[in-house]
Formats: sequence, C-alpha cells, structure tokens
Amino acid sequence: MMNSETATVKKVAFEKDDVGNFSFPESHKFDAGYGLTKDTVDYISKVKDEPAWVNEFRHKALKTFESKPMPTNWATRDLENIDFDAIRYYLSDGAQPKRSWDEVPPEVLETFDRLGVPEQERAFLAGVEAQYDSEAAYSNVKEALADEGVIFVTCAEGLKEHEEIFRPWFGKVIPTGDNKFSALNSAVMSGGSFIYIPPGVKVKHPLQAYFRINSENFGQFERTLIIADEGSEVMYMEGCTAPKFETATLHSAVVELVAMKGAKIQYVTVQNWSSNVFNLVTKRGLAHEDAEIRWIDCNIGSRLTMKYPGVVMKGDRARGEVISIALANDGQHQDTGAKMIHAANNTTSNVISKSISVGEGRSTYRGQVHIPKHLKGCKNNTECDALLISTNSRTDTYPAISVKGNQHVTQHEASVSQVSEEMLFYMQQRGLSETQAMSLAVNGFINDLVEEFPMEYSVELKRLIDLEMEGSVG
Amino acid sequence: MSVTFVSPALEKFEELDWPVRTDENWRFGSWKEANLSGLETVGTGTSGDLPEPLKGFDRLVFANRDLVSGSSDGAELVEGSFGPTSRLGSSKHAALHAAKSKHTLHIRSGTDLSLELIYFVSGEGLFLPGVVIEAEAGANIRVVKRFISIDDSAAVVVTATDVRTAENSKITCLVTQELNRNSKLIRFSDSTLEASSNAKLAVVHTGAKWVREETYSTVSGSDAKSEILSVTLPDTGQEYDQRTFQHHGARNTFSDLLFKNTLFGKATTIFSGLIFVDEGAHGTDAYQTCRNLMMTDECEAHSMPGLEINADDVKCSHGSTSSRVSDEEIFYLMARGITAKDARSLVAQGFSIEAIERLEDEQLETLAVEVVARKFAIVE
Repeated sequence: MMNSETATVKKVAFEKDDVGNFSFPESHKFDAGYGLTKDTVDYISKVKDEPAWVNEFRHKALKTFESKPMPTNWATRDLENIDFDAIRYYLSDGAQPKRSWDEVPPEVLETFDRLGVPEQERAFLAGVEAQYDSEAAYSNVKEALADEGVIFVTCAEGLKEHEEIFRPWFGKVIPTGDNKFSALNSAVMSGGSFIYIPPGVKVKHPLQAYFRINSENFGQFERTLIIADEGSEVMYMEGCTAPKFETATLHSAVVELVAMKGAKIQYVTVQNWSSNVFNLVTKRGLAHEDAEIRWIDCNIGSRLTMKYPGVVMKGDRARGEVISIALANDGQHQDTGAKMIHAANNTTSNVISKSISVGEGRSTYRGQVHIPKHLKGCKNNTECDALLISTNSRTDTYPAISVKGNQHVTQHEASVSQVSEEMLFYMQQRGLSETQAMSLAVNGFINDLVEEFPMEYSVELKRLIDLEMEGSVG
Repeated sequence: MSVTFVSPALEKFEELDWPVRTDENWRFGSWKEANLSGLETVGTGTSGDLPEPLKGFDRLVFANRDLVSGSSDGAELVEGSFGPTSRLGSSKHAALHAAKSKHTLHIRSGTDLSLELIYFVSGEGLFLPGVVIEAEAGANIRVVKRFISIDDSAAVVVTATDVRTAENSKITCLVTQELNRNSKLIRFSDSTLEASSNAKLAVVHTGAKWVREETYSTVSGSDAKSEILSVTLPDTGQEYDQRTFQHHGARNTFSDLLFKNTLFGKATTIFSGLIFVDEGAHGTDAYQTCRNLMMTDECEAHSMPGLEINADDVKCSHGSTSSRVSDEEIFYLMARGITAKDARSLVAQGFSIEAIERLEDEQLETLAVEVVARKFAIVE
C-alpha cells in the first residue's frame, strides 16, 4: 500500500510540475553574477538607471538584511539551507517592458504562450504584466482603463515616472526592517507592478501579473505597490511557475497595498512554484476608513513557503480578510497564515484557512490578531481547518491573539481531521473509484473557499487538486 | 586547603541563562520578572489561621519549608528535589528547584487516599516546594494543595508537581493559589498517564503579582484520559502567564484542556498551549479551549493555542475566544430585579464555575467556588 502510494504521489507531483517544467537557454544582457555585495546593489541601480534615493534605500536595506538573523527561533531550520552566495540576484535583457506581444523575444513569448497568459488576457483580463526572471517582458493595460487614469506599470516605471504618487507609500506599509526577507527584497528588488486606481474608478476585470523564473540559481525579488484611491475597486491576480532545477531557487517578494477611504482591493495568488523554490514573501495592506482588503491565497507549489498576508486596519470600519488554501505534498512545507492588526474602532477581520497535507507533506498555519488599547467594537473571526490524507502527513497551527479591553469580540477555532472511512465507503458504494471519492471529499473540504477565486482560476485549482489527489489514498 | 563540592544540579543551574526577550517560549511574557538572580531561600516560617478542614481528608500543614503539623500514611518527606524538567521555557527555574529544594513530599497509594496540603508562605525570598503524586494500579487519589500568604512580604514560590497514574488509577488534584500581591509564583505541573488511567488537574489563581505556570501532560497509555482545568481571576497589577503542552504518545488517548480567565482592572493573561500528537498515535482525541472574559476596557489577553499533528487518524481541535459579558444576559437578569453590577458578577462567576464543575468532586468544587467568590468580593 505504502509503496504504490508513494509512487503515485511522485508521478502526480511530476505531472503537476510539468505544466511549467520547461526552460530556454539563458541569454542575458545584464547579469549581476553570484552572491550579494554592495557592488551587486550598485550594479542593479546602474542597469535600471535609478535616482539616488533608490540606491541609498537599497544600501540601507542591505545593511539591515546582513544584520538580521535568520528567524529560526520560530521558523523551520530548512531556512539554513539557503546559500545566499550561490544565488544570482539580477538577470535581464533590459529593463524596458514591451507593450505588445509581437515585440517580446520569441522564447519568452513561447514561455508565456505555453502558460496561457496572452490567451487569458484576450479572454478576461483588463491588464497584464509578465515578468521573466528579473524584469517584466511585457506590460499592458486596456486602453479604456488607461483613459480613466488607471496606472499599471512596472515598479521601476512607477518610481521614476509617478514619483509623486509612488514615493509617499513606498516602503510605508512594509518597512525595510520588517523582517530579514523584506530587507533582502528592498536591497535587490526588481520587477513587480505599480498600480494606481483613481478615485471612484471600479475596474471590472482583473489585472494580472505572471511571474516566471527561467534561470537556474536565480533569485526573483519583485516589488509590488497597489494604491486604490477613494471609493475605487480593483482585483489583482498573480500566478507563478518555474522549471524544476536541481538546485534551490529563491523567490522573495514584497507586496504593499494601500486602500484609501472606501476603496476595495482583492489580491488573488495561485502559487505553483516547482518544488525546489524557497518562497519567502511579505504581503501587507493598509486599509483606511471603510476600506476593504482581501487576500485570496492558494499555495500548491514550492519547497518551503512562508507567507502571512496581513491587513492593518487604520481607519474606522475598515475590513480585512484572508482566504487561504494550502496543499502540501511530499517534500513540501506550506507555512502560511494571516496577520490582522486592528488600529481603529469598529474594524473587522476574518481569516479562513484550509490546508491539506498529502504523503509526507507538512502544512502550518501561523496567525496573529492584534487589538490594542482604547479601541472599541473590533471583531475578529479565525477558522483554520486541516485535512490529513496519509499516515505520515503533518499539520501545525500556531495562532497568537492579543486583545486589550472589553469592547471587542474575537474567536478562533481550529480543527484537524481526515477523510472518514465511512464517507469514502459510501461514495464507493455508489460506483466511484477510491481516488474519485478522495478527490470529491477533498474538493468538498475546500469548495466554499475555491468559490472565492475568479472562475477561470477556480476551475484550474480544482484540476490541480484532482491531480495531486490521484492515488494518494493511504 | 579547602575543597568546594558542587552538585551536578547546581552546576546545571549555573550553566543555564535566565529567559531573554527573543525566547519564543516567552513571547508576550514578562521575561524580566523571571530573573531571580541574587535571591536566597526563605528561612523557617510561621503558621497562619487554618481553614476549615475538608471532611475525610488527611491534612499536612507546612510553614515555608517545614512540615509543622499532620501526617498521612500515604505521604512521606524525602530529602532533596525530585528534579523537575522544564520543556516550556523555564529550564533555569527547574534547575534551580533541582539544586536547592530541601525536600519532596512523596504521595503514593494503591487504594483510596484524600490529602490536603496547606502551604503557609511568609518572609521574603525563595520557597521551593515539590510534590510527587503516584497512583498505583486501581488507586483513587484526591489532593488539595493551597498556597496561602500570611504576611505581605515578597515571596517567590517555585513549585513543582509530578503526577503519575498507573493502569486503571485516578488522580484528582486541585491547587489554589492565594498568595499576597507582592509575591511571584513559578509552577511546574507535569503528569504522565498509563493505560486506562485518568488525571484531573485543576488550578485556581487569585493571588500573586506574577504567575508563570508550565503544564506538561503526557498521555502514554491507551484509553488514558488527561483533563487540565484552570480558573484565574487577575486584577490590576497581576499577570498570569500559562503555558501548556498536551503530549499524545500512544494510540487511543484522550486529553481535554479548559482554561477560563476573568480579567479585571488592568490585568494581563497569556495563554500558550500546544497539542502534540506523535507519529503513530492514531485514535487521538484532543481538545483545548481558552476563554477570556474581559471585565474592563484596560485588561489584556494574549492567546496562542497551537497544534502539532503527526498522525492522520485523529480528532483535534482548539478554540480561543475573548469577549465581555453580553448585554442580553445583563438585560435578562436586570429584568428580574437584579442590579447591573450583581448581574455582571453573577454571569462572570458562572463563567468560572463551568470549568470548576468538570472536577466532578463536590468537596473540591465547593472549595474552588469559595476561593473564586472571595476574589469577586474584593474586585467588584
């Protein structure tokens, strides 16, 4: 039983990776070489022709990165396996993204074609940015939106051409020193998006970014800042893949969201990195009065993911939400969670996390809810449910809830369970195979969360999960 | 020529460091309070007014480290500490106990035994009592342990209890902590349960300015059941920091933890709990609940309920809530002629009693309710 199970899980893992498991020969005009020093930082600044304040910002961040210890006092020791000297921090063909797919180099175009990005853009997206290693190869937004004043450009263009909007918020939601990896990102950031939605504009179709790693021993450090001005609405989606190299790859992004009064931002992630990627990401949003920020997050790939999207509710009646699905298979550790910081009266937050551990996979929920002194009417609801599929699967839950004062309500609930024998038996009685029954049960477990994803994504999600479940009944 | 002999326990104590801010086991905790360097152990103490004896219980009375009255067939004083181990952050304090505690009270029985221990604490300095409770197969042991200050001195009590249940035995233990507001308490409560045994370990904290409590329960025999209960009522100037670990090391084991904190004034509570299920410990049933009742706008509660599960055929859950007495409940009672103040007190006392009732032992429940009521009389 065990042997056939392991074999099938491996086969499935292979098939799953196969979606993005291809690469093209490297041909980089700009290459910062291996390792990280002051020269690396200066090289990146020079290639990108950055203003002095950005270069200064990078150098300060590098110092912070070097001075901070690895957070292994609470996090997994697997972090110690990252060799910062064996990583390449900047690889690109030039910093200027193309506005038309026709101008994109053929192998890059083929990459994104195989991943279905241009097709999806035609079908249902309002704008797309496609990043290939360090820089965006393509970036475009529908004309009608540009006419309304929507800005969707790379982060580099944002800081140069829209400094007056960009700079006041850049690094304000997530300061450089927030953690070791936010400092690393601040030192070597490249790529990512800058989005500005003018007051009252409601972007009907989602904007999408696609992140692709093509080169071995490469670290991707994109930086994203989204500002939704008063009363505006936007949905942003990101996807990512990498080929499966022999060596470990690092992805360490920083994403900052700012929702002004009454604005609404939804940020959707489907993370399907290959299982050699360390995915260490810092994501946080700042919600002003009556604003709403939702993180909708799905983690299927990577070797180790550490990601705790957060919302700082700074204005009265602001709302924060994290919807999270994690699937950990053999050799994977999905360490995900949420951070809800209540900083104004009558703010509400909701966290719903569901994880599935298959084979020897390990999933972890880590959460923080903070309600400081002298506030009233704050509410938090946290639910985390874990499903264990095989005998060797593992799950952990580590929430921390701090409440001051008696004007609030918080509740936290977590449960761990397995798919019951009775349920599987019942379904098999009705003619389903064991695998189909297991897939159905798992899809049922996360169904209400999958519905939160845009339709095109939820179909893809279900398919990926079916693939992961194939034959993994233990 | 002089030769100084250093015991291995003392050596270990000197080797270890006091807790520091970055210590994950001390998250949200007052690690500075835990630094006891320079403190000397207390000398002989005096006895206080004895509470009404519990019917059918043997009673032993201690004044600081000395046994001043009473005896029991099931208990004897043994020289030195039994050597508690700490796995939840206070290993320096455990080593301190191992190195410097004068004697251990060893309670052992193969039949029924009811025992009441009164610890009168007086004077400034360290007091390091230790108790081992061992239930042999088929035994039923009940222990009440009370810490009572008889003056206002700043005492520091570092106390350790080790509970061991053999097959088919049962231990019910209630600890009440009624120290003065200048004192500190660091308490280790360990338990190991063999097959088909049952341990109910309850604690009520109303006194002391700072409490750190580390409860480690190992359920190592199948069909064993570990219940851990706590009721605390901190007020301004009091901080209770409780860390728990429910360790499931065998198939078909059961554990249930219920902590109820009622916070007054500017009180602070910290709860950190972990359910840990070993690989292969299938059929585990484990629950963990921490509820904070916030009575004022200035109190503060931190909860870290955790799970680490390494087996798939398990039922585990935890829940944690923080809220105040609901307006509907107050309204309901007021409509029946009870003042708002009394209504709040009534609901809050009911909240504590819910945990006490789990003791399922009338005498112990009555005592616990009395201790809770005494605190309510002061705070409200």
